[in-house]
Amino acid sequence: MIPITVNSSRDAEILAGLQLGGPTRRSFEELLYTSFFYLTREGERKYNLTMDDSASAYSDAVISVIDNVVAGKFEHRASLKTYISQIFYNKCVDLKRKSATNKERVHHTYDLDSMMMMLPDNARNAVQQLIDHNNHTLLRQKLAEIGEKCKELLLLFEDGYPDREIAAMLHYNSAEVVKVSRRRCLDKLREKMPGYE
Amino acid sequence: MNEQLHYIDDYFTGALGPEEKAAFEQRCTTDQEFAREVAFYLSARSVIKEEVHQHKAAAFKKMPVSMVAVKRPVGRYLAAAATLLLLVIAGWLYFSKSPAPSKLADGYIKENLRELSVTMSSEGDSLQTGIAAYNKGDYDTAEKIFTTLTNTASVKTDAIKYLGIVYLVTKRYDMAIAQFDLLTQIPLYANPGPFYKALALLQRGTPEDLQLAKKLLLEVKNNQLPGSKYATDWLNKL
Repeated sequence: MIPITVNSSRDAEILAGLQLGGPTRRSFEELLYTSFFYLTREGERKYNLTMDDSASAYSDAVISVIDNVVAGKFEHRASLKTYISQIFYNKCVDLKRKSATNKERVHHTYDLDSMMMMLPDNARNAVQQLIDHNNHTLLRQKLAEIGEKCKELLLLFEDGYPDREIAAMLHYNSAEVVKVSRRRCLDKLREKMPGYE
Repeated sequence: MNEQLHYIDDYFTGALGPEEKAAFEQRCTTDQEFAREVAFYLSARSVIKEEVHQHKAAAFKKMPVSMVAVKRPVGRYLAAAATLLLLVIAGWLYFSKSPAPSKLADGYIKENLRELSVTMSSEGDSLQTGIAAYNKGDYDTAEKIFTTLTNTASVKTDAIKYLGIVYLVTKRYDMAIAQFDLLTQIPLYANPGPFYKALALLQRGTPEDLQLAKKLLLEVKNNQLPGSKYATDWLNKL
């Protein structure tokens, strides 16, 4: 099978826009979302999902694609449509299989796992045992209590924006100031958690 | 401010050198208080990421959307088909004059992948069952076990690798490549994904596969990844 190259000008436009960074990235995220929204019909037809569930799976798929493109994990070996379709169909299957369970927890675990995998086996096991999954609801509550600016800083970083871009977007003096502020915000969150004060 | 947080953030943002990383990982296993801080850090980032996703999903939901697919000009497909044909012809001409590279991969598979080594693990019992099934040649059972284990965080990496190998030895190269791509995306110090993917490509054997396999073998050789000895040897022969 021969790898397909990105041959659509729209693909190229979207990919360039997502990698461009800065505040303009948002508009390209929206363009990506609207460009292939028609795939949600497939979710309804092939996987018997409701319209809402299919749209939710599609939304998750778009977010995964954005994360991968921003992190440089998209290898340009398939068209965006093929790439997003594959992820979307997997999400549909996940949703179908796990419809009886808490869907949000499924997605959450994935995010945690991907960071966990940075650790080698023995360190991962040691840390994994100490993760209290029951703390997540509380962590979300406390995240709302650390102040809007702190929260925005943390969200932008987790959205894949590098410190230098966050500095420009939130009017900080430098990337270094962003880094220190971001860590202060994490520390603030930590201090609000019982047992870490 | 909590100094450990700097250290932990440095690790997960890739700012530590190899020795510092090794010390960090060692400390996770010997200092429970430190491991607890790492656990908090990961939980917090996971919750923040979840929040980012929810914000995006909510914003998407509000957007006006169309159900009409954007059609691409047919000319592009014709041009792609013509290029494809040329590449196939060029590849056929090339391969008609040189020995099949798949023999190299074949030799490696027979020598190294006929049996998987059984490792001792406190939590990988199912993994060992999968390996045992594989070693007996019961690929169907092995495939089922490894497929299930790809959803278990603690053995996910090995499960993906072994599932790819099952597909490789049962000649389902597209599926093997998909698994090895997944494996390659996992941040490991010595990732065998690129080498295994090169094996699958050499076995599948289209002209483009050979080029891509060479590229991957060069990457394996240059980065001293698992399989680098074979990669160096094969690059001289291909």
